[in-house]
Amino acid sequence: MAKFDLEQALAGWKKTLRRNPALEDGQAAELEAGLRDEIEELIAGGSDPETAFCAALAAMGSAGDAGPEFYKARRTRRSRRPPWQAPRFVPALVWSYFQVAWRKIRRQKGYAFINIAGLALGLACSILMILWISQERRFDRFHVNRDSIYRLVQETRNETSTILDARAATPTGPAVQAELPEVAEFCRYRTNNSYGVLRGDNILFDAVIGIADPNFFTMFTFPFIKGDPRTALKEPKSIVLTESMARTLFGGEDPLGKTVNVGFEPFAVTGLIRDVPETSHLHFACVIPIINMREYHHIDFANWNSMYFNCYVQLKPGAVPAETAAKMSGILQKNLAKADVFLRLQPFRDIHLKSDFVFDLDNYAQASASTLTLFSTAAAVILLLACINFMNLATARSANRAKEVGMRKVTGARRSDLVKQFLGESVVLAFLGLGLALLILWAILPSFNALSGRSLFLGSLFKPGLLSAVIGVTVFSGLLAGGYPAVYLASFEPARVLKGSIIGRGRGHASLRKGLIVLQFGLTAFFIFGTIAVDKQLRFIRAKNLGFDAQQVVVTSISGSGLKDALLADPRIQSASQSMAPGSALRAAAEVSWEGKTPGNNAQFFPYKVDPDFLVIFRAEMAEGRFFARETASDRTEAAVVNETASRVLGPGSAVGKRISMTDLSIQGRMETRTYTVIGVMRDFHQDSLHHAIEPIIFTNNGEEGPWLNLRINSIVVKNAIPFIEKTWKSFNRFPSRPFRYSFLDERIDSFYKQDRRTRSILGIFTVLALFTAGLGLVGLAAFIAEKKTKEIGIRKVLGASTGGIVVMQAREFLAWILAANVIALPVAYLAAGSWLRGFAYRVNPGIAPALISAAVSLLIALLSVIFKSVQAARTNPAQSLRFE
Amino acid sequence: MSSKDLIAAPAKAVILSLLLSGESYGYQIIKRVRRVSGGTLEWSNAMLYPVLHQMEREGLIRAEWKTSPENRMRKYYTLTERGAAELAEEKARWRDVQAAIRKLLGPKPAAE
Repeated sequence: MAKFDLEQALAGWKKTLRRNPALEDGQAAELEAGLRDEIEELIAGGSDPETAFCAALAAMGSAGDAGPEFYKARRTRRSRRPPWQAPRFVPALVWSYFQVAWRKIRRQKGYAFINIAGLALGLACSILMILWISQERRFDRFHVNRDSIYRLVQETRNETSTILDARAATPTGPAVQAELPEVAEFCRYRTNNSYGVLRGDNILFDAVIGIADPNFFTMFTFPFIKGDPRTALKEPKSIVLTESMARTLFGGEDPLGKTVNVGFEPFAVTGLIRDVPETSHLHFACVIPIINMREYHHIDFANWNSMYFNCYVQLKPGAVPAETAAKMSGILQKNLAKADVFLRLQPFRDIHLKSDFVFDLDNYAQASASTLTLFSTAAAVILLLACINFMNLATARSANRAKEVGMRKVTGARRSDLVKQFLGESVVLAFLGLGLALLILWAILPSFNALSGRSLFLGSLFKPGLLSAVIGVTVFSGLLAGGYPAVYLASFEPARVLKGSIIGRGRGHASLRKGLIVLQFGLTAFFIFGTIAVDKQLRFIRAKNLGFDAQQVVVTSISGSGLKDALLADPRIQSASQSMAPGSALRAAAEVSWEGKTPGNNAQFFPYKVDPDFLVIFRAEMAEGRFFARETASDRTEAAVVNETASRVLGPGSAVGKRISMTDLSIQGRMETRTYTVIGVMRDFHQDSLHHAIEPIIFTNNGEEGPWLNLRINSIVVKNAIPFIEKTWKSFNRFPSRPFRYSFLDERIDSFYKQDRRTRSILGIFTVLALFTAGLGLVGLAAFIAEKKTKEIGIRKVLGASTGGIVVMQAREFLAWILAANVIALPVAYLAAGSWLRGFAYRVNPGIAPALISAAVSLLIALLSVIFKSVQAARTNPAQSLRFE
Repeated sequence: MSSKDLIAAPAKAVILSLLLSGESYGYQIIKRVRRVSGGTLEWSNAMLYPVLHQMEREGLIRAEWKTSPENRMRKYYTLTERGAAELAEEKARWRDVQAAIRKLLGPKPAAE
């Protein structure tokens, strides 16, 4: 180590002193004299020079401290700010910032458009998601007891699957309340819209009738206008109406105490409530007490196999839901004498967004949290793409502002002032984007609402929470977009940029720009791939042979005896069948036993009630044996047909001739055990959506006891078939005004995939937007590069390069980046698409084609973005571009 | 008032009284103050010089660059007449303050 040189150390220290603007020369000299005195004394006391120097310096206090002290001693200004410090805020400069920013926008309309339009698209998507999510989250928030209410979900496990049923066995509610002290209340609930509510001439057949335990209005919060929530449902024949229902039935009259008919029975109006908010998963027009179901649907309230109602429980404070659920499972297992059934407690607030159960029949406007997450991610990605455009263009074009930075610094701007200025500019730009975004939203919201089945409107943004979220997102995107360029621009050194050179710093930034472009196009490729994969699956569904013919089949119900024959008499009706139709809601599994069933085999079978015409009307096929015949009387009660899946479950060998006994709820609502001989095996058909695997099905020949009616329309004389069916249907009906309800089977099956099609549409839109945004950025960058290379291109042309060659040269570089982006993104997209596809029991393999298509699409977009400016540059006469050289 | 302020507050009075016994320079003043106060008043150059300059501007002291016995340039301060007058005033002021403080905070503990 070099020997310590005191003089050198002192010289160094003096140098730092001189940098301090507060110190004048005399003062510095005096400080030095003092320092020397102290050092000398310390050395005299035995210290070595280095220690002495350090100690003396420490005792002196730092030069930085000394400055302001000296300044204070001689300051004459009223403000405490020394003159060599720039003021924190110069009002005149704010105006200059605006002027400069505005000038930049005006002079470079193209770039400003790319930035503002991109940010506007990203913000529009983000605000849309904010609106959407906030609406979904408002669901069910208005109930006072919302935090202590849970819904029971009944879980049945077997070797292969777990079925989660949103309903609970009918006696569960009373049993858990009686046995578990932590259960404060229970309330069972179900709706029905087929009874019809009438008063005089006013008949509401479509009215959704809530059927609930008498404490419904104390457990849930639906404000009463008239009547007492505690007693309104006490009497069996009482009914609570919503305001709009009461208005329809009674006009302006006070309905309280008056009578309306539900079906044929008179009910006394005991309460009037406000209309149910749109944000309630419990949705009804009126409520009647649950006890009526004993007679209407033959519900046996003591039967643990009866699954009809949703059951809500309210827990006492301090109860632990998981423990309570375990105890409830024990009660259910004891009463069903089964070990593989459980109860779960679903928090009330999760019902709207986090339900994925079978028989979730009364979950009004249910939504899926994972879909929202998917779309929010997409929106965020588009915003990110727009921010990247801004970053790329701003850093690429930094040379244009280098002189401004230099001048501002020379006249006293600090680095932090410049960062603030540039950030301010990008935030202002983001707010311009916000304005445009709101316009875009205003224009697209109606079509979006139609697509998503929601009712979002811009006005709901003007709430403190949402407004601050929107402003937050805007400011954030401004800062995100402007942050890096601001720091980069503000770091220019005036001495260099004013001489006209920022070269030497550009390289790192160019590769950063390339990286960002790779990121942009990687995300875009991901989107394209996802959209294609979803589309492919939906096409596959549509093209898949479901195992039956759903075309031209009308699904309706029997309105009176003799209807079927009357319809069949007309040539327009080709065939008719009183059977459950494919695509009906899943039924409850039945208990089945057969010869050779191994103990512990708890395979689920689904009973399916048909008539002998089922095979004909749905064009299903038999694999083995025969179908039910009308002439064979024993077929009605003793024969069963199984599907191939059920046949496999029944054991190896032919199922025909096997005897099975099945315990099932009859159409009259009684549990019955019957023994059948299998007379045939039907080929598997997709009864349910392709999301689910084909289940074992047992067909019985008792469909004629039920309300079902399916009609195949003659494909040659389709004309007026529906009006004819309606007329005939009504003529057999007890109430001529009862509305004729029907659906086409193919439409019904299509509706299974409504959510999937919605996902495809929204994902498709996001993909287009992402591509557009990324393309915009590329256009900007290509334009900039072409502009910068004007001279290079001129020289190349002079030396004999062709226009085509120059375009290829320019495009090649971009295309390499895009290709790299695809190579990185596509494997990830493949995995993501695979996980979405696993939601289908029957699915396509996305294969290599979507990867090729997305690569091709992104390359094409990139090429189109680049080529325009490149061609323009390449075609410029070199005499022009080189004129100023 | 932080303890730093408390140490700086009487600086004017202390400097004036030290200079009463003849001219002195920065480092010597710091040393004397340290000695007299038994280490309680530890002044730094950064604190002292601005005060000296302030007092010089007020005309209480006079400064002069001279060559020291060690043959180095050093700025010496001497008391002016105005300074001597100010000292008397300062003394009276500080005695009052001292008396008041003592009354308020109680007598000095026994040990020295």
